[in-house]
Amino acid sequence: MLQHAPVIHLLAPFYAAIIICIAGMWRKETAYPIAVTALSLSLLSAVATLIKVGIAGPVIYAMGGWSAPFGIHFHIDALSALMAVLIQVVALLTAIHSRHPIHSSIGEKSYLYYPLFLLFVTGVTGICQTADAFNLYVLIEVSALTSYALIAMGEKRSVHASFNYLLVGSLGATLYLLGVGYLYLKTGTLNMQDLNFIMTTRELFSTPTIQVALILLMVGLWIKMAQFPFHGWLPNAYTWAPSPSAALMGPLMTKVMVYVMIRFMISVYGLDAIVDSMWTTWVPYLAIAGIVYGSLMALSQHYLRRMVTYIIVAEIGYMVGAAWLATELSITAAFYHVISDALMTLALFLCIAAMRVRHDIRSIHDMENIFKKMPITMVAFSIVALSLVGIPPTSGFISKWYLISAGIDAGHWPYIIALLLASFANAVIFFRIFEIGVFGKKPAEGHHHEESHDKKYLSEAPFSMLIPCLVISASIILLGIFNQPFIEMISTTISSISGGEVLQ
Amino acid sequence: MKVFQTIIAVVLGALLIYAEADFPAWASSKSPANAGELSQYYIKNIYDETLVPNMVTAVLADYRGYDTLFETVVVFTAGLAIFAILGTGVMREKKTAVPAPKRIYSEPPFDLIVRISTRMLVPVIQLFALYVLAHGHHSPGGGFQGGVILAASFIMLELSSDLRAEAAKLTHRMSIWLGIIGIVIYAGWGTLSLFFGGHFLDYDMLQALFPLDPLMARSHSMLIVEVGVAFTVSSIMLLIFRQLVSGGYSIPDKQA
Amino acid sequence: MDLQTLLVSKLNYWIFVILMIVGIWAIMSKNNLIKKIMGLAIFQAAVILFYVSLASKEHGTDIPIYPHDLIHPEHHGEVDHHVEEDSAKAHGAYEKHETAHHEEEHVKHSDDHDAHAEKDAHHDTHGDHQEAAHGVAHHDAHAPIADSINADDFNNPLPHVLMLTAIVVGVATLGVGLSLIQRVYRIYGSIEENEILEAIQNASDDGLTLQPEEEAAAQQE
Repeated sequence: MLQHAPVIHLLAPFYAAIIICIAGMWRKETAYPIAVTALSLSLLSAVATLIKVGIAGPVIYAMGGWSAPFGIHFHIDALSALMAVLIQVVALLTAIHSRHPIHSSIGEKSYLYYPLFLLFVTGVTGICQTADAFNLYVLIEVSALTSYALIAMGEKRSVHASFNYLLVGSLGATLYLLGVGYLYLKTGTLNMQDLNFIMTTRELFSTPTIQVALILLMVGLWIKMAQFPFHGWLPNAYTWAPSPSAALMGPLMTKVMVYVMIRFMISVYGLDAIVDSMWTTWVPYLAIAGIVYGSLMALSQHYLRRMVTYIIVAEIGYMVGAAWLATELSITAAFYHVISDALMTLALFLCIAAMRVRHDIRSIHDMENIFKKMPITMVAFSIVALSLVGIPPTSGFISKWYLISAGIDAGHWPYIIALLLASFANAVIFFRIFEIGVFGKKPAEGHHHEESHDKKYLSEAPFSMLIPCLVISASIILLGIFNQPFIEMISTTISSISGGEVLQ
Repeated sequence: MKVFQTIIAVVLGALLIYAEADFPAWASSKSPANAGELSQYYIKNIYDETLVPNMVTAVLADYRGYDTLFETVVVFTAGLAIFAILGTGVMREKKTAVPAPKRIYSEPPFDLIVRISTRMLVPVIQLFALYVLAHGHHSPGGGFQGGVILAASFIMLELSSDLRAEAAKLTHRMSIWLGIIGIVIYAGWGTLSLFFGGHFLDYDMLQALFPLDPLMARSHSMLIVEVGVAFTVSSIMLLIFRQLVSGGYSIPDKQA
Repeated sequence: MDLQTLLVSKLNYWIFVILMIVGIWAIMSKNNLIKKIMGLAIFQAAVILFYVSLASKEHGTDIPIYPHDLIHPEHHGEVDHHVEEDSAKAHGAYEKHETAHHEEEHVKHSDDHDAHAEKDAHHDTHGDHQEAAHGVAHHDAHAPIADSINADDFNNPLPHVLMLTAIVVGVATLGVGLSLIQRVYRIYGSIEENEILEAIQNASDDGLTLQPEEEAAAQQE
């Protein structure tokens, strides 16, 4: 059975979604346990795949038994396997966390919520594993449709936000489809490795069609990952969504699109075709604009969720900028940052949800003395904050280190300056939060007065929400300390893909 | 603002026209897509390998069956999503700008000719839908096409007569159930081949299940999965129609 | 670039470009939500037309289906079964099919050989990670039907398949979009973007922050 591991972590959430649809209609309480069980199973399967890839090299799984390009292949190398593990981890922790918010806000529809949740996980897992460009489009649409519904199940404003997301997201996905169409027109195949082979042997990279195909693909993906000029849908969508939806999609949707972008850059086009082109000159500036815009807007927000969405926009700027510096080091740094940022974003959303559940905290101004009220959650929050600023030994520090090294290596000083600026802006934001959270805004006398009166002042989040927060913050630190194996795995994979060796 | 948007549209158009310089001529059989190895292989070998004369169905249900599975999942997900967005309970919010309508379904005036002619046509349409589904191997058709025609027949019935009565015959729960059955047939059939030692969706490994004619394993499996697709597509299309028409105020299910 | 060549031989591409621009412009600049969705539908239709137009060939049939007399010819060809090293091929299945539907004799020993070859072929597929399927096309020149087919007689089936999927996905998206519009109408009383934004602004003090208490209370009623 182990040879079928790539399919298990795709199918487990899928079947669980179906089971919940059936069982949840009958008893609503069964939805949560089934979801958590299925995601644990798929996490095990994803880890097994990662170990297998680490030992034996890329795993190729042929759907339907047909060899590429006649059928659809899974081509799982270290990048895909890492993404798959990341997705399952995020999904599992969010599912555990979601028990309380779902129960309180959309309880009677949980038999619809969890299937959509699990189908989203199926969609993004499939995106990370497939080696077929058109199949990727179908899976993008699966995850997109579920996300439109997951967002729209929130507060009243979420419906309009979801509609805007639908318009822009479908536009992006259709542009991606068009780009694939151009590639097919010129090469006659859809399999990614085959595309690379044909484009290299027939020297098609400089043809207008392939160039425009790259533009269409990239613009489509940038729209879906909320890169700067196309980011308009993100703040509203994730601000008004229910907190489990935001916690699931914030770390995953955009980062998986970054993965797709990197995959097209290295596996389909190849670094040789991209380096020294107009792209490496201009796209980092676009990314820098995104970083600056995101950081400045995050500074000006006082509503917590909205602030996090702008931080996401800035972080996407880091990744896109690093990726389009188009050196092996920079892409390694970008990919490591994908993992690190997904964990950080998840932690932020989880902690904010925990704060909201107990004390109805929505904006920074509500966060007075939060450190005394919810110490454990705030420990987790502080670790994330340190990671965002870039303080060792968190993974944020390591990723910033690698990003800056990549910037120096490529000689792109504006990018480095933007990174440092963003760290500074994050520091200002979180310092402000810490100030309000630890010291409050009241004068010292009244402060002592209140403390002694409230026995129930300490009101921590429920366990189902607390444990994921702690696990995530612990993993942020662990990822930072034990970064070497990951970095090595990533950079070996990238060098072997772009080393001229044409894989099947 | 509109000027800005027009400029973007024009720039995009110019970009696409620039790429056009490179395109092969329309309907050229020498274009990379048409003369490429992939397409040549399909045209030459599909019948030998799958015994299905219709190349499109063969590629759809067998070679790229994984894609079709997820396409069916997309349809099912859309049904679930619409149910989640518009379904019962959500629309009973108090503070809405537009209040809930007094009458949910408008009842068309009773018209004998419409009723009778619809009643005569619908069975024919449904038979045709089943024909399109079953004959998908030999003529254009298959699960999606058959499913949509089937859904259209039900929609016609509902449009022409009392929506409320017709809708009560096939509840929303039932629609979701049928949708689930369809996906379970498809994915389950693919998973079955895992147990027979093949990869996911590898129908050739299921030859043991077809003792009379093992080499037709692929062809029969394609039919089975197309049936699954038809289940899902027809029930979900009907669900979408009902939800949109009634704005979510469906006839309340017993436990909805 | 000769104007005649550009316009006539690439007519389909021009049409698709124009449709696409119309669609994108509608999504961006129309005020009514339904018109935006229609723009999306037009854009998707343009992409679908583009793909389908790729599939046609000058002398190809419109529908990629083998005609009846090609599959069931009057005579039996030589049945010589070579097992190629490229897997994922099954030879001679044609013979068995004939037996099921017509009273023609089939060669028994070649069927056994075929079944054996099939198992071999699949064993190859599953076991071998390093197979290269591209490069040289391995066509069995002796297969019963493959060699009697001139590929130029048939349209390319692959874009048709891809677009079946794309159409269904487009319809699903349209359905979800329309349901969202229904709810937006119910909540805000309008489907014009400017009026909706106004309503959002009026509902909260400044348009950028929400009024959580009011909305949460409304949700929990």
